[in-house]
Amino acid sequence: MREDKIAIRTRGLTRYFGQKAALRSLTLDVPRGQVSALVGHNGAGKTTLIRLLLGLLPPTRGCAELLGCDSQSLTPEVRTRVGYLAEGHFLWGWMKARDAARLQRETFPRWDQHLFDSMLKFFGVSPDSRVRQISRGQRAGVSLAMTLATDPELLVLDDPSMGLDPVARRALVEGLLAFARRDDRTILVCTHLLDDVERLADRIAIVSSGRLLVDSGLSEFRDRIGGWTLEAEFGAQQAAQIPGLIDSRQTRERTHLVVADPDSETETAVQRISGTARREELTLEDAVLAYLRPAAMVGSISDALENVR
Amino acid sequence: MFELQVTPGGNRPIYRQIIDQVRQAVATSELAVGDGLPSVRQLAEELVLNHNTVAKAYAELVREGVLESQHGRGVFVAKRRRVFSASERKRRLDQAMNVFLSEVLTLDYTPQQIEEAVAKRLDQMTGSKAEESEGD
Amino acid sequence: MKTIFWKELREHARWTPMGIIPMVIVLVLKWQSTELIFDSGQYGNSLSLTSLVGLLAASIALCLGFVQTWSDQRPAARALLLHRGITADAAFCGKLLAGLLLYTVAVFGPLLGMAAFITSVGIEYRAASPSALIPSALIAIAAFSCWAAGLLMVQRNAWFFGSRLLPGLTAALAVFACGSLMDVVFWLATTIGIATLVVYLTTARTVFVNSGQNATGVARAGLTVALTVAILTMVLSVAMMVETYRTRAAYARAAGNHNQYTVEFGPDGEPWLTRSHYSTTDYKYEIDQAAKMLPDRSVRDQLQPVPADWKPLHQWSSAGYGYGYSRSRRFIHLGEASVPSGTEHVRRSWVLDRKQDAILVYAIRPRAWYRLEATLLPPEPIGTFGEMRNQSAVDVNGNFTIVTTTGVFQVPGNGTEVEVIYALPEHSKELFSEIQRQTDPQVNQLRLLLRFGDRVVLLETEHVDDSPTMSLGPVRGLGVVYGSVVQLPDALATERTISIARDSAEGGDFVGLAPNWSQPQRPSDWFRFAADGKIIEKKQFTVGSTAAVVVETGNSFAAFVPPGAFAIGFAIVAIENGDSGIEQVWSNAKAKPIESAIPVAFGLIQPLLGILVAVWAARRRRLDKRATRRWLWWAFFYGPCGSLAILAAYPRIVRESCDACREVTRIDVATCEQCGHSLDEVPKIGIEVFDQDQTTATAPPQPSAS
Repeated sequence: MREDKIAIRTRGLTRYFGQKAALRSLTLDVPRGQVSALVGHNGAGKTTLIRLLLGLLPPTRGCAELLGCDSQSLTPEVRTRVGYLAEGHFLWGWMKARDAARLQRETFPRWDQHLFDSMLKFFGVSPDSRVRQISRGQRAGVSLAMTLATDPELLVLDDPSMGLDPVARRALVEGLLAFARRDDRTILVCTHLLDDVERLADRIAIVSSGRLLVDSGLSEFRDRIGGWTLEAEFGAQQAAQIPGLIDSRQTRERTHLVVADPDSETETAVQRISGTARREELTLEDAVLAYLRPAAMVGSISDALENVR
Repeated sequence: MFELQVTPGGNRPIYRQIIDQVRQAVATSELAVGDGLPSVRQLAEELVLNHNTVAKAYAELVREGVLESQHGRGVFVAKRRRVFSASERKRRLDQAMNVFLSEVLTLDYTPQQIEEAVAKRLDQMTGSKAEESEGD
Repeated sequence: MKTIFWKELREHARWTPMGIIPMVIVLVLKWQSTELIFDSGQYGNSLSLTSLVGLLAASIALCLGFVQTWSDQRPAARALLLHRGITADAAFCGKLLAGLLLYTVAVFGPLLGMAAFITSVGIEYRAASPSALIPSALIAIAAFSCWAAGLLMVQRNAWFFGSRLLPGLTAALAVFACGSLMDVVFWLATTIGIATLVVYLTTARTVFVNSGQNATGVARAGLTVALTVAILTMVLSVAMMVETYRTRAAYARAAGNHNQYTVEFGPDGEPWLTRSHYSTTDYKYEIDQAAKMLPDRSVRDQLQPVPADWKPLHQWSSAGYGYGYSRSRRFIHLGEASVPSGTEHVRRSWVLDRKQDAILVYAIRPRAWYRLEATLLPPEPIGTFGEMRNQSAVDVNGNFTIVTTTGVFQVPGNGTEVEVIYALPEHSKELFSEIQRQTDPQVNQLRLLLRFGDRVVLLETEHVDDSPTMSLGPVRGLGVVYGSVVQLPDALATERTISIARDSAEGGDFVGLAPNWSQPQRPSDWFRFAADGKIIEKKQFTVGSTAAVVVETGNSFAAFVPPGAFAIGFAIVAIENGDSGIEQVWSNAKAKPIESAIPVAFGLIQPLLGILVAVWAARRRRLDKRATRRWLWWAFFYGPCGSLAILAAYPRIVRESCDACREVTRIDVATCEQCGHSLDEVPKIGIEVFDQDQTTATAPPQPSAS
């Protein structure tokens, strides 16, 4: 069964706001039973993607499916199987924590009051406290509890760790891991915290300027990105010689290169520029940052440097 | 008691960190043959990791013959046995040497010095059960 | 739905006082400022209770719609609202019901309170009936469409500021139209109200459910109608304002010193056209010229000065229709006077209460405090006042006369009993009547023409009072000095206004006139007849133009009325006034063919312009042939204003250059319009990392847009 393996599927998903493309022809499959991290800088189109997935925004072109159901016509039944945490842990300020529970309980049949209560306790929120009056982290806690206690099959989280202190952040990761361990639960999480990604994710997807650049298993991704350090001048001319160059970063005397799918050809090209080039082990952060840094900056900065010399 | 530690943000992927540490512990006899390791689930909870990552590391270790999985009972340190063919072993040795030597040769040691250092370390790790190695 | 309903109530219930308080203030102020009659009829009141409530209710609804949507418009809030086990429809219904409940509390609460107050003690202070609030309640229902308009304005993804705002304008206009038509053409007001409510709720629902897109036909149709009405109204209002200003200026120039033309019985009993000059010094009309009527043409150019003692015969006359007493009204104000009572004067006001069949007498205290003083019942043996037909002014002693279908009654200023002057032989619904007080102080008489069927009763009371006031003179106890029942000739028993006089030339005979005021170019009738209805002599005459001031009305206004709007207006006139309305339009057109043709010619410009604009707009929005053709019909009927709705009804088409052919192409379809290249095939940069088993190269299935 097609639907069994893939929890989220998009095909050529495109959204424009006016003349500006927020998302371009995005084709992505999020497999079931895994944790996928969606990474990108602010404004890269992550939130737009999530709103499109949940049918809260119509696409300009293309389509998306959630648990086998078209996003634009999600049935209430499918919605109850999807937990969604919107960016910023929004809650209506007049609500008390118990109102939040009521709101969810009445519209999600598998509501887990026990889980909700224990999460509230963890974040130190009393059921009678008003959302307007609790701290930001506590609000995040209520918001998370509201989402997790609906016992979803698929969890879509938009920057869940925003505003959380380290303890709460760790608790969040633990909670999500515990959730993911139950069979066949899928998580798509948008986050800026790459350490958490490393702990959490099976897969990583990187979106930059509305385009999907990476969609791969986390370890495969790291295996496929290589780094070099060289002590030589490096400009646009040199950059053009290296296939799959993602990013080059100049420190005082060295240039760090990050390359996708390096092979012997890459090695030769790098060595041609500088004989002393060394292969570098990359952290996940290095690899991801290479993608997130605006591509234009690479050329322009090196060009600028060249002109100075 | 053998304890694993992982650091996200390092330049080795977490599942690699687990593999390395288990391998090392077995090599230094910190883990003896037949010692049990925590289950995937326990370890994942303990280290706050995705259980797939732990499972992947265990699977790799089992494939390499470092660990063996006994159905229903858990994972244990295996008797050393050859899991790789002769040519594969040769390839792996070459690969490791390439990395090692290309690094070391830039440090201006003489071949004799390198050989000595390697021999000494080898002795420590396999023969006299020295206490600690200097990290990975 | 229940959950959302609860959420909305919890969130917005705190706003209800903001609605209740102004409602209460308006009702209380209106009650305070009402002069005596607090009834559903709101004639002669520039800002009637109905329009006031309508205006306020519309604002409350708009604000409520606004706050209910505004706070949930942020993406995160919208997600929290909609992402749950309910359909978007149910969420809309939850919002709608909560909005309706809050609106009901805010608007109908005070109205019900007012109704309760009126029912319990109201009549003690005002001639008041709770039914006065019915039009307000009806308009309040219509005004709820502004709730949907508010929602629509917030929710719609519109680029053009106006296409967000204009739907609100239309809703407000509809409510306003509803309010002003409520007392005049009830069915039209109700139709407008219900139609607006339905159109707005449906459109708002569709837009809400479709995340702000008006992708469906329903939303598009609703928007089209709303925008067309709004734009058209703005254009027509401007045109009308210019026209009104022009006309008013022309009147102001012409009206200072003018003449009035009427048809009178001359001293010989025959019909004469008289010209009365309006004197700006003593504000009176004085006949100064006259000419005998001719059968075949107007005699307006043959008027001759007449001697000062030239007097027309004293006549009884009767308006053909329209007494000014609406049957739906419960209270009729009869008069007000300061009446001597002992040593001082008391101000009193009289009101006929049709429901109680009694006359209510109110004492007026300073600062317009009214207090019920007495309830006067109809005198025995008649036992009922019947339907009100006419009344005289109140004299210094507070006496006045009323004519009803049961008789002629004298209401005394001080007394407690109503007296019968003349009891009609039968209770007649057909009765027409006219009360005239002759302006000449020498013949200060009450003259009455009571007409039922083909018979008339002519009454004349004797003048006794010689006080120099404008009074009628007390008829009490004096009775009728002249009264006779006269059979009308068939030709006079028409719906038209008739005048009858005693023929001075031939003692016992009468003369009768039925001038054709509405069609003055057509022949009118004059008769000399006996009391038994036998016609002695018969003549025809032509009234011709009697307009006092002739001002050329321009046709510029007509140029802005598209055929569709014209047809609707025409249909309303036709339904409201029956055949006579159409006939009048038609006869006017025949009488002035050229003047009538000009607006028609102007009106033809509208479809042409409309089609041009529609073609332009349809191109901009890339509509297909079928859709364009449908729009051309709309453009034909509603002109350029209607065509502009295309721009709002369809989303703007965004274009970008295609990667393959570099031509500009629209981005909401899967392939390039020019070269057919799939827009989803984005050129690779070379740094993509995807799993082996998934490739972006496979062409995805595309839902077709538009």
